[in-house]
Amino acid sequence: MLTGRRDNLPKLVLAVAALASAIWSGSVTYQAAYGSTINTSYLLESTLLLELFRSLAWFAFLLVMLRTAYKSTDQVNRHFKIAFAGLSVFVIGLMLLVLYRVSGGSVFQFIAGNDVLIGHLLISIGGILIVEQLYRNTADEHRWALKYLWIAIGGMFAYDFYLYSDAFLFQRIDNELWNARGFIHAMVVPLIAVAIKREMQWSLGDDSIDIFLSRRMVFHTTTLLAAGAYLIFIGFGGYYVRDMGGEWGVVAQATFLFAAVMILAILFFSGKIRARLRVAIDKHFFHYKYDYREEWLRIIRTLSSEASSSNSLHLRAIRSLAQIIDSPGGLLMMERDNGCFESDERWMYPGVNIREAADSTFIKFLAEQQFVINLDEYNNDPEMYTRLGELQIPDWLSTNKKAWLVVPLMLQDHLMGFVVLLRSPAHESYYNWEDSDLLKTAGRQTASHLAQYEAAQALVSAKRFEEVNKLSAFIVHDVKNMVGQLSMVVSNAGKHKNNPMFIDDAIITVENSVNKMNKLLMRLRDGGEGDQFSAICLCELLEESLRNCSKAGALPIPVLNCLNQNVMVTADKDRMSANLAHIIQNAQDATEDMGSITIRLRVRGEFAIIEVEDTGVGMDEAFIHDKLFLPFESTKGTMGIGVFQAREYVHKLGGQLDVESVLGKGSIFRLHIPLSASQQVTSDPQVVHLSERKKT
Amino acid sequence: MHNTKILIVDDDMGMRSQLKWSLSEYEVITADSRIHALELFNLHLPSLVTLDLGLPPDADGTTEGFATLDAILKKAPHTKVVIVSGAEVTTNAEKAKSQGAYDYHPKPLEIACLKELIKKAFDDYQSDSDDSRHA
Repeated sequence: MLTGRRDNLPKLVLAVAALASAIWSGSVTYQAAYGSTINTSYLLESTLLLELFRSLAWFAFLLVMLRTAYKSTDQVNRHFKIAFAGLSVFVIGLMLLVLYRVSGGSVFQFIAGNDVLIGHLLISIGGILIVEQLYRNTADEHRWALKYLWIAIGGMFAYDFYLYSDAFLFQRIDNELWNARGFIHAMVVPLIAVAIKREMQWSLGDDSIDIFLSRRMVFHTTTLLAAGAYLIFIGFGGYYVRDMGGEWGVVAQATFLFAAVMILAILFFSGKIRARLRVAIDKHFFHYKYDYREEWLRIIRTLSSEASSSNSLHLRAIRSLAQIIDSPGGLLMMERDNGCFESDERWMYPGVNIREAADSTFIKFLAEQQFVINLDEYNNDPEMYTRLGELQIPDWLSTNKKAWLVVPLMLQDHLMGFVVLLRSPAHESYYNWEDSDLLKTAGRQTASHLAQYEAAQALVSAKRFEEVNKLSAFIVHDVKNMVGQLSMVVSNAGKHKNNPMFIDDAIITVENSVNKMNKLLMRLRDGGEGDQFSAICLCELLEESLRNCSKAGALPIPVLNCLNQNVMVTADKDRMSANLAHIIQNAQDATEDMGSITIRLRVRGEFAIIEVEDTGVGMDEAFIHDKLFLPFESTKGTMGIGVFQAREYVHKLGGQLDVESVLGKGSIFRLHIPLSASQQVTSDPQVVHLSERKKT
Repeated sequence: MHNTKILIVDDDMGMRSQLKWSLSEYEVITADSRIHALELFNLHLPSLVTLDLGLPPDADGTTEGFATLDAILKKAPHTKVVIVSGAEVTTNAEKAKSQGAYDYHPKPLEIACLKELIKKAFDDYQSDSDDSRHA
């Protein structure tokens, strides 16, 4: 909010104000000590001027602080400049008045002049007003530090106010009160020190402090009323004090009175006391009924607390809303696929299952107006609601005399459900816009939690469904093939049944089908792929793959280099071989017939590593990252599911597939496959990287 | 008269043997993989090939089948290759035809249909080679 230079401004002004106070205090002391013996009117003059300068400095500080509370727009800045200029003119005018008055007579005579006194009174009242404004606009997290500053400065002004109102009332400065000012200011210093120590950053809160006109008006009136009442009180007190007399008695009384006021102020501002007196004070003294930070933390805590069968998210959703207004129970209604709203979960809410049609006026009203319906308000004055739109409270709700509030659960602009809350005796009588706003917003928060939960559930079931779908597609395919074969056996039998060779073949065909069906059954039972895991010797497997490869006649013919001979992994032999063939074929496709392909097998740690290195066209980073491992994507432009499948399979075995490639230079596909548990290997030949490759 | 040799390429043993018996009026050769198929093709130069797309090592895919199709047509462009496959029909049939396959017969196969198709393919092969002879 504040840029670097501005940041220091409050501190600077505070320093100036403190310095002015110190000089002023010094001069007062000096004047008090020697004022009677040495006739030093210039000293008196400077003391009074210093007091005014001190007030001006404090005002400047308060205004600077107040400005941080408002959004820093040009207009606001201009207003503050005008305010400060006006204040300066006022104080300087007062200074001139003092200069004029001081030309003759003693301090107590001239200061008793009403015009100067009124000036001082106005300054002190203004000071108190600004301090109050500042306190109201201090964010909670800054309050614990800054409240001491406000109490200290406010105290100073309050005492001045007391002093000058007393002087104004009796048309004379009370000598004892005047002298007690020294003690008062001494008391105030530690408070300022505490504030400085606690608050390193001098600003009042967040970027967006909203100040409503109505609220401000209320504060001003409160302060002015309090000041008026206080004046009357002081008036009576003043007469009483004058009657009783006594030199030090008044000093002690004033000090005591001030201390009492300060203790009261500290108690009043204290967090704990505030919480205790919450219901009473919240309503009359504080601008919000709720501590929103606390409420929000509690809602989130409730919503995200650990799930259990007796504490489902839906139950917690009800509780998170109910606890805001201490409602003893609630009912959650959720939208179903058919658009109806049905009772989903109940918490201490009696009754049977309830259904509400999506096109009822009640649902439409909730969805359109998106605010909390208070059934008491509706019963007392239905007009309040129906002027916004048609609204008929459904029977199941209106017959339940305990039902109190209906909170919509809005997800963006969609009504995904609502919560009915039961009557709360504690909050019933002073339910207002704040409760309804908080419930409405909490309803939104709850709705997004519920939506997230439902999305997660839907995803899980979609995944399961997809698995079943895949499996059934596979089964249908296989069964169709078997039916095809067996019906061919039958039709062929008509012609060839006397041929013993056909009979042999038919038996083989049937046997083949039986095997396939057994495999299918196994797969159905496992719900997964019908892999048959066995220990495979990778070196042998690679040799076999290469033999097939060279038979196929594709070029270049790969060169195999088994750096470790006896490397065993646990995998399905057919799938392993198929995936290796894919990668080799890919390398061949990417490489010119004159290029070379090298396959290395080695062991590193607990993994067997197969490297397929080619001198082909290579792939760029973007292709490897975005496309290589997608099914149906390849440099050849044909359907390439190979690399994708190979990686899936290697992952399934607990290994990984790396690709290293340089455009125009070639690629290395590196498969890391976990070794069979029994295998212990020691040697560890270095892995070759493209950059280190020696051209041979 | 041209040869009446048919090469059946399918990785399923049952399918191979039953097709062989169904098409007993022709001279049938069978192969179970791309490599084996190309060996036999070079040896016998059949007029007609029935080709399964899902061959090992890519038994669930189509890459091996298409590779075989390419290799055969490269060697002998007039060969009538009938794809007999359980792979997804729409895209694969189109692709196969665009790559020069004679026709596409989805699995599970209707043997009567396939027989008709094969008969027609032989006739076309015959007239093709007659044309080229006359040309």
